[in-house]
Amino acid sequence: MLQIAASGTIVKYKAFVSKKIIIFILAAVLLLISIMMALNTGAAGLSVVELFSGMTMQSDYAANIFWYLRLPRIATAFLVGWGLAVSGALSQAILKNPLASPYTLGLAAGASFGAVLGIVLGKSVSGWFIPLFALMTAMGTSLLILGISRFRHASAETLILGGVAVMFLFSSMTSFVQYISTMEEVHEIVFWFFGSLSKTGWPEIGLISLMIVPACGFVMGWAWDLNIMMSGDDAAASIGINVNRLRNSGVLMVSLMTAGAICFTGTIGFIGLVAPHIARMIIGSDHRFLLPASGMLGAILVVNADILSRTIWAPQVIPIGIVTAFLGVPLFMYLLMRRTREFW
Amino acid sequence: MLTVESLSFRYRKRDVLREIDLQVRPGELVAIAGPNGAGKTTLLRCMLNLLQPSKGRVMVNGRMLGSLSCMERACLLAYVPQDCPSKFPVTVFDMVLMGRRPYLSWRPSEEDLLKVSETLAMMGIEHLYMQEFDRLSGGQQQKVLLARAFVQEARFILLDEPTSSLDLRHQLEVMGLLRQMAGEKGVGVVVAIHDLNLAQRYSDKVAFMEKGCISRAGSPEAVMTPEAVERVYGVRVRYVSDNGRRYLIPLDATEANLISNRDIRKVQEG
Repeated sequence: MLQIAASGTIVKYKAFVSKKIIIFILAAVLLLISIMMALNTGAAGLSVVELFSGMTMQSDYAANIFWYLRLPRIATAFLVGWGLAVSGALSQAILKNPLASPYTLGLAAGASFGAVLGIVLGKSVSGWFIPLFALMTAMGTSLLILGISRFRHASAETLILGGVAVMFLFSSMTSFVQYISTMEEVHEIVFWFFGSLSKTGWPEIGLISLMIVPACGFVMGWAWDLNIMMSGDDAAASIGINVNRLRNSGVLMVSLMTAGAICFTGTIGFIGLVAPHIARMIIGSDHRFLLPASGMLGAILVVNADILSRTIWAPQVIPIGIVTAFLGVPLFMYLLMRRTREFW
Repeated sequence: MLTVESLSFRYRKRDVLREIDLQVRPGELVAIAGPNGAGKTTLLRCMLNLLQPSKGRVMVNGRMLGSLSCMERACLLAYVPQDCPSKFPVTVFDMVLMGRRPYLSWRPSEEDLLKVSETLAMMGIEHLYMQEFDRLSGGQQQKVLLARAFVQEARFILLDEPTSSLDLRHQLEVMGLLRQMAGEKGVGVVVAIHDLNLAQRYSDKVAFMEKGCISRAGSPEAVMTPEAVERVYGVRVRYVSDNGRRYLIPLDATEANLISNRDIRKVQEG
């Protein structure tokens, strides 16, 4: 009797898990459609069909547009969306706080400060100067936060408070740099803060993926530990999780992915906070599914935001950082209103 | 065998635990009782290596607790905390499956799933398996946490006040399940508990804690004499028998306690 009941439960549990895989397939289809739509849009006015037929007829014009304009843009949007969303989901897990995002830990503020410093010192938006500075300050920020938390027991609350304090420190330092810089530099700084997907070529994309892809794979291996950490530090430790080590390496991974996502493209807000929540509403909070689902959703959001940014006011391009919120907030609000369960 | 040897714990120059000695044999249910603030939770946390004792040591099956890795420790000791805040929704099945973490690969095996569903069935909560944990009643939540500790298959289970927020029926059920685990699987169980009647009914051994020390330890009958209870809690008690079972009835707070209360009031007023 016991065994029959038990096997019935297992069958139903497996069905419950395979339902999630169907959601993944749907999300992948949606992502593919978004990419096709993004390939279809561009200043040259070539549709995706014209693009491909041009390429099969060995037209350099079509091939150039495909390889050097549209595809790099989409690849950047994809990587940035994926990276920000996964680092958002990871921050929410290690800080056990639904309000957490890469911005809560002060990492984005740190990266921004580095970029601004790079703009002022390098006198140019192009080149690797800015991302290098952004990466260095983001990593420095995460070490600073970890240093703060080492003084006390590295609880989630200590990290959040330390992160928020560091965020204010970096914002005022950024303001100070803006205050002492010239008009042209201020203009470039403001532009960097808006976010842009057009500054990345293939070498830059290579560097971004080097910072985001391995980190994402690494974090996926923590899925169970992140699930368990949700039910309190003591409980997690007694199930065999090294809570402090997981939290500290989590902060490092978040800073690596955040720096990778925003160093070339500028601060693209909001995705890191909202994509994990939307994913959680759809697929639940098991991190084995939540992490990749957040990533896919982040990619879908940024790719579509990019399409909107280039079409709603064409031929003007509205900065991507502005459009992500316009696209994400209504979607988020809609899901928030119609949700039937409390999610946090 | 889970052994605590002359363990002391200091927090900010205050002795929270002093020279604690305690032994828990496999299959034994040990109740730790004592007034609020006596150090019961601190002792449990030291026994789980969540706190580092300032002196003394904890041995599990002949091995120093501090020398074990997190996973090795999890295979020996399981813990059921007093409450389990959950910020994000988790289903009951997933919650219990977490207890399999020391044995789990990324994809849970058939064996893991079977153990989880059998334990749920054994505890009579298999119908809740798809419910969200934070929407369950306190009694159901406690059973789920218990199930999670059971599937962890540790040699010892430590529980902090598992019955304090439960109704009568759930109190008996939870203690009965612990008794059953101790009897059938030979698991050593340590329970910090307030309810002295539950303690004497279900435990093999009671340890009375007072101001960071274990003042008395032994069989419930030997330890929980009316005099001892009166001294530890400052409450006069009487035992009555019914159907061969002894029940402890609190009468009133003793004079010593009343006087000190009056003094406090005087100080506050003055």
